[in-house]
Amino acid sequence: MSELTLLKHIDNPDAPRIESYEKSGGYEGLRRVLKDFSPDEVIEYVKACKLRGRGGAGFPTGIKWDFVPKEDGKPHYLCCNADEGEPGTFKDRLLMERDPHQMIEGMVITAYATGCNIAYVYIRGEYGLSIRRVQDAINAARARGYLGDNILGSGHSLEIHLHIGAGAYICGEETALLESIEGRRGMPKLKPPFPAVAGLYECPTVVNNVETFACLPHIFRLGSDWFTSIGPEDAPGPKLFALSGRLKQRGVFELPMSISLGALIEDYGHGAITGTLKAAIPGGVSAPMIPASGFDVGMDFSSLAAVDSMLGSAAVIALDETSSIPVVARRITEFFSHESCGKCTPCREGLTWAAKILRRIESGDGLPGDPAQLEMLCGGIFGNSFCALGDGAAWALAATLKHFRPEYDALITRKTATG
Amino acid sequence: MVKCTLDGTEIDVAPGTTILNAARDIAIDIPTFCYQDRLSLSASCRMCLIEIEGRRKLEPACATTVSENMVIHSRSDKVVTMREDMLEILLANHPLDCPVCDKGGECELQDTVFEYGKGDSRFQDDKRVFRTRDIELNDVIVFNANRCIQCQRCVRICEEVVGDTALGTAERGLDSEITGTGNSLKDCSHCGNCIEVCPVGALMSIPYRYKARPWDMVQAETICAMCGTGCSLTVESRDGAVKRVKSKYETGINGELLCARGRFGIDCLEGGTPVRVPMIRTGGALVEASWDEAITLIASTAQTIKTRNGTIQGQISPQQNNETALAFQNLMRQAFATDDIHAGSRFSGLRDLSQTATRQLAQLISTGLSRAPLDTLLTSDSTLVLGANITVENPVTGYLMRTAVRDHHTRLLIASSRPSNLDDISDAHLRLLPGEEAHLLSALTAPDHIAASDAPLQAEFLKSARAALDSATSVTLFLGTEFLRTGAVEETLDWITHTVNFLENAGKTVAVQILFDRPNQRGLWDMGCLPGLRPGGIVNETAPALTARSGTGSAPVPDMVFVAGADPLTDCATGDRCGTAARKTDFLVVQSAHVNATTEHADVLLPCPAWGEETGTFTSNQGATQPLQMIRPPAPEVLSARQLYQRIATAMGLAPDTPDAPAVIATDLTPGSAAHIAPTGRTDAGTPPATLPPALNGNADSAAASVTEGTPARPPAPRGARPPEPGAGQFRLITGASLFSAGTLSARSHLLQNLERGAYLELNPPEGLEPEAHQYQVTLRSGSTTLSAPLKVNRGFARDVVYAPESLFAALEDNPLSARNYPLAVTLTFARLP
Repeated sequence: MSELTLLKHIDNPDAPRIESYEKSGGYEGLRRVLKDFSPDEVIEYVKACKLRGRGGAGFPTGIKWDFVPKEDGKPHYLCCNADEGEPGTFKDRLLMERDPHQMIEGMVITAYATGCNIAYVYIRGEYGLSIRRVQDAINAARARGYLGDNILGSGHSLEIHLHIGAGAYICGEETALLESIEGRRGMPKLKPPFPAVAGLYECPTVVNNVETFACLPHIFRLGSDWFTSIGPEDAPGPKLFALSGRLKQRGVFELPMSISLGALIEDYGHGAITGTLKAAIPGGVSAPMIPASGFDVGMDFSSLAAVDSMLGSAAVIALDETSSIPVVARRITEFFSHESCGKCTPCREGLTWAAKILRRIESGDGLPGDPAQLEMLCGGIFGNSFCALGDGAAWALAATLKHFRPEYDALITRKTATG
Repeated sequence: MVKCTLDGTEIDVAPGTTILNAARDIAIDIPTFCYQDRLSLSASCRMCLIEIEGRRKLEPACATTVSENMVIHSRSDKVVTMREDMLEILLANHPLDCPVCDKGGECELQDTVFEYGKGDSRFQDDKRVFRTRDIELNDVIVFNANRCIQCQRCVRICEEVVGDTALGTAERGLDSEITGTGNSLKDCSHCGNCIEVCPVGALMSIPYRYKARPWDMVQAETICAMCGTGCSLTVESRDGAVKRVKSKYETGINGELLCARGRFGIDCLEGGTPVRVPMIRTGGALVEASWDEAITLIASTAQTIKTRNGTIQGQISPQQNNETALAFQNLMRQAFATDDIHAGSRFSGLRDLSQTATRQLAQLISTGLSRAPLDTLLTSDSTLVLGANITVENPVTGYLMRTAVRDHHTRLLIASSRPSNLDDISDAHLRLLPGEEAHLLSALTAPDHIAASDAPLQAEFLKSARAALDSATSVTLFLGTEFLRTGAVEETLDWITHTVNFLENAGKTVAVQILFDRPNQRGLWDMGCLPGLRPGGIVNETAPALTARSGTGSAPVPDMVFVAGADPLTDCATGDRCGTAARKTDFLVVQSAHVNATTEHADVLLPCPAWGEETGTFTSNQGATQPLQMIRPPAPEVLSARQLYQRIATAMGLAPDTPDAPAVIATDLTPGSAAHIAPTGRTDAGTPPATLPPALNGNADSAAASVTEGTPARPPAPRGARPPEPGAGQFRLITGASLFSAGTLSARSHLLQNLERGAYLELNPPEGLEPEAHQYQVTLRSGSTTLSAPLKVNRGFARDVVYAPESLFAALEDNPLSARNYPLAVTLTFARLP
């Protein structure tokens, strides 16, 4: 795709400034919304666009907004999930550092549609520049009347507060994120009730990803026909893909969904640094890896689900022949083990145990029963965890066993043969 | 109803029922660790996962509600395997030190592994050792981190039920560790409910540590004597020695809950100096005597006094059971021909009630107090707590109140002299001095009675309280006993009666409970241990004027005083008629299990069984009569009180009949059962109609419509026993039970006395002392009374009030806190501790 939308201005050093954003059509979408749309019409329009959440689960955004009760007398809250913690994922960071007003404008549109007057940006604490740029953008938007009381004379009011995360991966899970804003331990909560009904301070709460918000100004400026003309019918619109790992060209690319994993790697990532690629993780480390033989798969929600993987955060990590899969599996498992909140038994106990086995295999002390133990942990343990963190860990580890069992066996038999 | 199929059985359940509860209803066991009825849902242990047809993943039975036509499998292969795997991973790091673990034999993990585990483990790597040593979090709670399975029941019960929020979790993931601030729980309530709910041997009781095995002990199921709530206790002994107290899940009013006094105060059985044999004062000293000698002396002296129309007074302690109390008042009324019977040494305000007030109190006791389970009372729309610090006086009542506010959104109103940890969850709270209760009630129900000086103080509370009462269809009134110590008893009783009538006339269901901080005060009154009240709550219309009622002057001293278990010389205020009587009578008979100030003064001293040494019944604050089991037998030579009274009567040539406990005593409080006595209306037929005060008439339509026959006449505006406004440097002293010390039983527990950590005076420090107020010594002066103790900071108090634990006064020669001057005006001086 030659025409960029979300990333159109990222190379312009002035893009974070509100004057520059306005000059390129910024806040026109918001003006249109406030002038021509009732809140319900905004929701219907977004539903018609089939915009799906860019955070990982791909839930239809308009439908999520529609769950928020109308006229219930309670305050409604809006949260932007900017905790981008999935390893390999750095797309939101680019948006916040280089063109943050897209997200702010999207939040104002969402707040108008869902009756929110208070919004929080839950932003990853390590993202120093993003924090500064977003805060500057909030201040500038407020000075221009896009935030605060009676926005552009519409009668709608919104204040956006920044909440800086303290470094926990689990706080990217929406209920843990809300707990964290409330000042509690960052741990996922039971669903139902879903945040749209009882979220922050037990009030209806909308949680969307940075990139989801960033799509909204363009939808209302350029129209739904523009949006639905891009990409596959069930997942239209521009999408950011973060490429990393053993690729010659790494970075964030804006493309329609359904581009094949192979094309993404070859045409945009320019192939392996060393020799050939053996696998790629398509959507952040919790997405099951796909061996090179399966690269001919569309990078969209349904195609990846069909091959037992997922689009997730659309962060592609490529592994070439220098990468030992059991070592990759160990590092991924250690990551999840370190980030487990400790709430549920399977995730808390199982992950550290799996990491222990993987470390042993890597150090050459693997035993013939180890892969079976790991498979049991993936199936019987992590799959029964409280939230998706355990699921993600299980899928990631299980895929390495499924596709690269010989690499494990080789490490184990080497020891058995010599020992 | 919702229809579903559970393991092949089709069942109908109420909408909203969880799968776990549906299964329990048909005796299908689904294992759990983190689930507990009283606590918020966690669904984190994953033991209760079950299979629902059509769902890809297993779902937690505790957190999934049954939906129409749901087909559930709790024993499918998938579920069985999941349980085996989950237990295997739980045990992977568990130390499996069951042989040296106190929980062995009653461990939920052990039991669940035995029932649902696979029997072996595939895991071969080394176990993680979290900590090599146990941590003593305070004097009663020790923590073993290695055994903890992170069910968080302890954290939840501490926060949601006890209200301490002392326990929390540090770190995350496998490093998550249950702990208190600074790895200590030294400032918590020490209730040990965290120990009780711990499914494994992670949180353990220090007094019980390594003392016994659960299967080695015999149980006595009895009722706690540390306050009037009436909690069920299981006292466990090995080889005749008491090892610990447990509460049992879903048993009694308290379920698994107990407070520090109930759970850890059992060493009171070993405390104090026992009275072993009868003694008679001879030549100024108490000399050992036989039972016959003592009984003959008592009988002949009583007979002589009766013959010359002399006076006899009886005093009985609320630690005595109903059977003793009934026999006691029989002895007094029938053998000694006196109606001068008292229960409650501290209730100085009750001594000189008018005949009308005596009748009013008798009426309140016999028909005015609710006999309904506390749980039911707590589901009222609004609850008003008047003059009580529930958190320390009746801790378990407080726990249940906290959960009621959470579960039923009960609107809680608190007006008391002392702050409690329920203030924070109340709709409104007000600091009110003892004796001001009538003022508040009159301001609530008759707003034109508000004195101008009250207005700013009370306005905000009154606004919230009226709103809460207006919108309620049911109201529960919890009365503390503070007012019984003041000179305002009569008008307080008037206004209590009026308030109940007023609310009932506004169409509301009203229940009343008195929050006694002693175990059987309600039972003693039910048994007729009060002038003017006969057993079974029969008001004695023809009660003779008491000998002591001689106008306002000093009361004549009875010729004989018979004290059963009480210690009036310690507990009665100076000038209190009962205290003076015991001190000055010519013939003082004292029955006591232990030596105290009054026994030292006795002319005849008789041993009697202590709490735990006899069977009988206690009547709790909610009106339930509950059996006491013997924990250990009394010394063989000790006569029971009932035997003693029988023999005294016989020696006097009488045979007092020994009726069974009156039928009014309800044992079954289930609403609708025969024994359940609903609170009865008190509207007198002849009262003239009155109009509803505008304050409660805010919702004009509903309120006005509900008042049909009019509101009863109001009592006169409270005159008030309000002490004069204190001057500069002056404070008002109040006193009462504290968390670890409430009466003689707790005073005999070394463990509780250690937790009390010595004397203190508690107040909201004057501004000049902040922020280092805790480093000051306070000296309190009033008349000849002087007391010094470290300052304990509590910013919940009114600025001009100081609280002293009542045990402090036990050491004083003169206890100045009589009805005439309670709360007491005192001056305080502050000196920095070296």
